[in-house]
Amino acid sequence: MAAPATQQIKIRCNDEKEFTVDRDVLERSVLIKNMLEDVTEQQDAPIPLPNVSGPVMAKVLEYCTHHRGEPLPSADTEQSQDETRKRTTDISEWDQKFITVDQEMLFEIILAANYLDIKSLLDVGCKTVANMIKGKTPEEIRKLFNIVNDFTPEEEAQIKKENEWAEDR
Amino acid sequence: MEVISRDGSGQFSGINRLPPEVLALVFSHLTQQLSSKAWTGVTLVCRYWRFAALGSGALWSNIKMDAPSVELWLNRSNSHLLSVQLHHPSRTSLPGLHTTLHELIRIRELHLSLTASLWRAASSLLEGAAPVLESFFLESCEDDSDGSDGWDGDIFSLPANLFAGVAPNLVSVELTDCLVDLKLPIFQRLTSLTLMGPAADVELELDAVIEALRAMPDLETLVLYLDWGWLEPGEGLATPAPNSIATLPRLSKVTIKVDFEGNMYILSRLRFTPTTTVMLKCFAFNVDVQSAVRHFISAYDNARGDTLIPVHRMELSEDNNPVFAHNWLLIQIHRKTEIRNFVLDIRLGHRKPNQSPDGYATELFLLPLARNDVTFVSALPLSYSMWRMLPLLLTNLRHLSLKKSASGSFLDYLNWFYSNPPLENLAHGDAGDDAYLDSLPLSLESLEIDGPDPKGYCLEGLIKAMKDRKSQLNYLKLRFRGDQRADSVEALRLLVKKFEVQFG
Repeated sequence: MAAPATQQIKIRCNDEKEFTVDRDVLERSVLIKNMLEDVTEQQDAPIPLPNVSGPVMAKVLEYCTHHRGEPLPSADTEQSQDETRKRTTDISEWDQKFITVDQEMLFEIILAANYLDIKSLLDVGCKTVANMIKGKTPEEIRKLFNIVNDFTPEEEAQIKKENEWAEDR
Repeated sequence: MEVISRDGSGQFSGINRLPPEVLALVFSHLTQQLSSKAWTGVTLVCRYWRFAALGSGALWSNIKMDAPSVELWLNRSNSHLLSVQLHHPSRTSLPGLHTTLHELIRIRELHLSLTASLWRAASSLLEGAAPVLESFFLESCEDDSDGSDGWDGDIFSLPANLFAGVAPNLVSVELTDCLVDLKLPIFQRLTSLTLMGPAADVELELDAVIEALRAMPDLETLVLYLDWGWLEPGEGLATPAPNSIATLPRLSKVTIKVDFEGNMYILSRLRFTPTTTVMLKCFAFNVDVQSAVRHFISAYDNARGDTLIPVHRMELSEDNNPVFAHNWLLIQIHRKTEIRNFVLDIRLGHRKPNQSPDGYATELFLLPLARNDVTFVSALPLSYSMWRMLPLLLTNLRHLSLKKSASGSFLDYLNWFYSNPPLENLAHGDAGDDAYLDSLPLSLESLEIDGPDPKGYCLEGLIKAMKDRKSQLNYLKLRFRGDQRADSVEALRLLVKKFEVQFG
């Protein structure tokens, strides 16, 4: 007996780019999962995703396809977030390769993961940025991300004094 | 109202398109990896980053009271649940301790190492409700600043009204040198309990501890390193209450310091599943370990009428304890214990510079406790005590797997053993209980020896052992790193049903 066909869902990005994707892949996104659960009858019209562009969605779908079938993280509680962070300190080899993109795409992926509510992808993105920051001085961080120092010299001195109290262990 | 621009200069920065809560998530990964001094540098990058960092209470919720910035961090943590730690108490810790313990209502983890003076000043603050507290660690430690020697009996008596009786989420408690009524209802949901000390002449009622444990049905981990002063063996333990039994169906690991027999007494009154791991630890020379173990076995027998103690896995630490105590301990336990899964992991890294390697060799007496597979992991080359172990190995085990340097030692000693008549010497060993081994049949059914060095080791001892003791060995696997004498290998091949040998 043939296995039942997987339901295909259409999505449309903000640049009109459309994708037809297996439902279980799309359901890595809690946002889309909830949308699909709210719709009782099958619709032909694509789901609009106004905050994601086609190229970024293609990357997100690559991630979701690779991780399809894996258990989704538990409910969005403060505690479970803490535990997740403690549990996973490293990025897997595949994820690391996947997230090796230019800065602009990295931030787009993080924004998309946040919007689509894909916790594991958001985590991979944030860890990657954290790794880029690690070991750098504020000035080096500004240079890396093209950020301008908008503190007055007095404010900067005050914050430096504050941070001196932080313990060094 | 201050307006925080993501790009104060008008210049575009991609990262500042991330919303503050996502940026805070990035920072949270930094808090896991860096010291607070290092990660708080993000507040100095730009106003937007500072806004994101200061807006996330979670980032500031790990309070280290050793730092003088406690109040600042408490303010920034908003109403977030707190993890509070004081590891290095000093006189200057008091203001921070006071301020923090006033927030007891939102503390999830509380880890306090306190001097006596800090304890006196702050203990009453532990009488407030702790509705979210999950983990509580309290340790009495030396006060360097007051000129005392630190061993003058600083024992903390926890208030009877601890946490106002409100700690519904408390699951983990670790107390060192503390007196506490364990029967308090707040302890009844514990899954982990560690009790250490008190190292002073304080007498506790063992049966009261057992009664308290009986009311902790969820307990999964129990560590008893109680000392109870310097009681002589048997003192205070003469009349165990017959009904003093605690059944702990979820207990997965129990670690007992055997130096004080009270701990062994408590162990003997616990009932747990056959899959529970029991770890016995012995630390001191000047304690009567033999008496403790005798009491344990006697108490267990009296309580159960069983001949075997169901222990799934037993590990024995070797910290400082004398060799003879090990021998005695192991042989005694051997007679009453069946361990279904025993792993002996002897690593060079565990060895202290002044410790004799024989301390490890005597641990091998534990091997007969295992009726199934035994594996040596990176074992040290074994020393003279090996000869005493051999009959135990050959008469009790069914399956034995030896790796690396232990393999060479084993073959070497086996050869030496059968070139000399050592069995009659067994009766004169320190333990004095070995002679009975002589009458036992050779039980080894399968033997795997992996990787002995080719130089010097020979197989004659093994051949003789198999012939003389009417071996039942039906499987022998040898893997050498070099050539062996072909005739020895052939002789072995004839003595076992299934024989595998690899060279190279």
